[in-house]
Amino acid sequence: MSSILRSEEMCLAQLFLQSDAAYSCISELGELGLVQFRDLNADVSAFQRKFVPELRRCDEMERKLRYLDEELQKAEIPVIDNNESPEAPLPKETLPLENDLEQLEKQMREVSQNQEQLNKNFLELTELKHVLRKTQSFFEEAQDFAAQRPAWQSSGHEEMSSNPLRLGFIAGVIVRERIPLFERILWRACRGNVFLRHIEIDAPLKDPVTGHEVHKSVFIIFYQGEQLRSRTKKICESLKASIYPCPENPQERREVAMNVMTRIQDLDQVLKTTNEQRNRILAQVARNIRVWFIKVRKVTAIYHSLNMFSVDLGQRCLIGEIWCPVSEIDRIQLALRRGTERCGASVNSILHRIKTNMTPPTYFRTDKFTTGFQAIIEAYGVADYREINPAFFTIISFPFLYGVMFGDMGHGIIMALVAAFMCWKETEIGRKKDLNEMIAILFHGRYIILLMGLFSTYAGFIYNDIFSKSLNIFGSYWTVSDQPGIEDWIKTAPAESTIQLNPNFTSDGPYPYGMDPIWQLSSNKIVFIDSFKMKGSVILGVTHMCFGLVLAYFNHRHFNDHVTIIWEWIPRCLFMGCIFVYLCLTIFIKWIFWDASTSGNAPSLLINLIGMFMLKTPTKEDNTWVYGSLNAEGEATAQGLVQKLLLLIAFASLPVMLLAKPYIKYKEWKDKRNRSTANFGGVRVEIEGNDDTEGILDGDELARESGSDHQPQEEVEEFDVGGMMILQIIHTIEFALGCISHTASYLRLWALSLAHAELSEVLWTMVLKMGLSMSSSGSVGAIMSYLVFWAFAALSVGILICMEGLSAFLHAMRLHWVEFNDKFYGGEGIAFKPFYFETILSGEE
Amino acid sequence: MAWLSFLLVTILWGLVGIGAPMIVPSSPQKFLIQTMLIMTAACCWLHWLLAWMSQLNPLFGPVLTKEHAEIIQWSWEDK
Repeated sequence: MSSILRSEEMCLAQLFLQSDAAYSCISELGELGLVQFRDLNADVSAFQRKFVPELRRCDEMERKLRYLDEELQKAEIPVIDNNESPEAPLPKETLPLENDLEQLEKQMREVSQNQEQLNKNFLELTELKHVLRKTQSFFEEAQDFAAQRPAWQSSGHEEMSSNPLRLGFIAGVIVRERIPLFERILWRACRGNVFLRHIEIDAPLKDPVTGHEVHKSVFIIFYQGEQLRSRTKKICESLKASIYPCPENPQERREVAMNVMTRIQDLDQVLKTTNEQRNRILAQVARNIRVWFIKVRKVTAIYHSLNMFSVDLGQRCLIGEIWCPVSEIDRIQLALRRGTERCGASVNSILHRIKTNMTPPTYFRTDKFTTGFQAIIEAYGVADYREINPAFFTIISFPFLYGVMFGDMGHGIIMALVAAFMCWKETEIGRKKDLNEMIAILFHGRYIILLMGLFSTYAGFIYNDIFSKSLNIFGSYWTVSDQPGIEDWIKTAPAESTIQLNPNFTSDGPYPYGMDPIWQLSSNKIVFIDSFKMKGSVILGVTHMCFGLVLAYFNHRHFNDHVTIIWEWIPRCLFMGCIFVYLCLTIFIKWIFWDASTSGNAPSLLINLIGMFMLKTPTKEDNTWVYGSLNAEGEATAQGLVQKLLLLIAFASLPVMLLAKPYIKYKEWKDKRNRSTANFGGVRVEIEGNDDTEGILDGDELARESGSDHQPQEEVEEFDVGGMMILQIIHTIEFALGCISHTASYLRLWALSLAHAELSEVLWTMVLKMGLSMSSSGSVGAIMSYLVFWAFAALSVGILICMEGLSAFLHAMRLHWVEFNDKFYGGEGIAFKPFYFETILSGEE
Repeated sequence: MAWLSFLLVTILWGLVGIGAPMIVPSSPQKFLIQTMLIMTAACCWLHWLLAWMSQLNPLFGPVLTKEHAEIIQWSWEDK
């Protein structure tokens, strides 16, 4: 039976693989994904294991693949995904792959290096071209300047003009952002004795190493003297400006420029061919890289698994230990046979079940529907081996409690439709890889959301709430016309006055399904709805917790733990029943036996509960009389007696819970110790418990013994009385206080559903109703109502569905984790992590 | 009259919670589907029961404004 009520039955098995066949056997097991290898070399460091050289080669291959992948991304060539999933290549088949990769990498690196060099040359030439072109204007300016000078400098400065200074200059290119810094440094270092001009280069230039585009400027510095020249040069170098030779003579400049242009053209040609060659290689890589990655990762995973095996002395056989589900042993055997055949080995691989007292890992076979619920539970803790899995019941109880808090037909239907759409299109959406993270989470939980939406709709139907309005499907069961004197009141009363209907005349029994629509119109709606929701959440909560206790019984029975059933489970049930189930009973009694004619003395159940703890006899005056007869003084003696008795039972069960189990365990241990001493003639013999490889048994033999009693080799451990007592005290206190606080905690069902209903009503009256009644007639009104509707819709989805929905989700989750699971769930198991290529490849390892 | 609706709804959810699980076709998921049906029926019936019970013997009636009282009479009670 492959249900997820309990985890799969697991067994430990020993695997004997021929050295030659081991590789292909593991490969087959990886495709199957049903076994988990135990590390038998845990004490050996990763570098001293058998298959380290192979792993190193795999790492090398993966590194090359990653390099090629990076190059692909740089060139923006898409990887071709043909959905192939190749099997892991045999060791002899990996060699060609290794060679291919080696060659490709070498080619790629060469081409890249060439290209980089060429790009660098190209950049230099382009920069030089710009320098020549831009400095042209500086020189022209200088000439103009020289031509003009005599005009306004002729008087008094003749000696200067007659003896012109020999100005030197440096021209180059610098990154545009550095210009202000460059200017400042030059000014300070040369005390303002140099002259800097710069012009921006319009087109951005490509950096040959990073490939980014950089904006640069041409600059030219005029200076005088050798000292300033070296200083300026140093500054240029430190700021990574590139300096280019620039002849002063216009004739020479033109020649150089011509030369540069032809060289640029040549280089362009060369660069084009290099690029083509590079693209050819990359196209080949893009076709195959996915398959290569898969192959290399599979091989790596296989060698990692093989490293967990121990090698027998003759080196001919590898021995490993695996955890696997008992029900799948046949398929595993088959896979092993396939693996052996594939590599043509003569000797079959052997799978041996062995007996162990280690705790097996917990394995649930979930499908696309159950996996989300399992994830909710496993976020709290992985189930103990073979204990009842709460996720099995969470599938319904979680959406139900969510719906109780989120009850609104309108919001529920929207939610269910969204989820139904995701379920309908699940193959298409599932194939997309670039999903938004938020949407991916929602998509993962689409079945949970679908059920949550449906149950919210149902709860909304019970609350008779659709966007805070009610439906009158069955016709209200209240009749206003039956109220005595209603005709006169309507005729005479002022417009603002109100009337309270008398249930004795106007109520025609309960509305058949859900809340009567008349409450939606009444001004005391909250008083009535609150009373229903509050009582309802206590009853739902106690039911939920009692269900948890029932599951605890099945857990104890499954593990044959009769001591716990009698001395812990029964007292717990008594404690729970005598106080909290009794509280629920009084709620039902009040609903059934009290009506409008007796409403003056209607009991307050909370005060009665407090009175019960204070051992008070309920009376009519205190409003604590719920049922039973009254004596002459107005005291409900029968009710008082019952309550005292129940309280006595509840408190008497506490010491039983606390003391009985440790005492019985202690006695059992003492008996066992005496017996084991007697068995060996009065001398206690330590038996070497060879912990996990205790005895290799045949599969059938093991099935008969089924691991229950293996008395002779059992070791009598020391008994830790203190530890056991402390544990028991904690458990008892936790349970007793937990019952009280958990019952109170379920009141969140009421609080959240109240908040949700109120918020949606506020949204209706403050946005939609106000907007619609405000809008004037005609075209303005039409536009107004259009806008107001969208505001209402956006707020409904954003606040009421998304935010409120999230908060209700978290509260429902808490109610399951703490209040429900606490009653029966251990949650301290170890998850089963099968060796499965699919999970390894999808990177969830 | 009141107990008629109780009977009908109980039978309805009884069919879902007891009848339907008996005709689930056998498959690996049979037990899961049965449990889901039973739990759905139990939860939905209980929630309905709470609403029904709370209106069985109302201790007080709704407070209506004059406007609402008139509209109810005119629209729901044909007066």
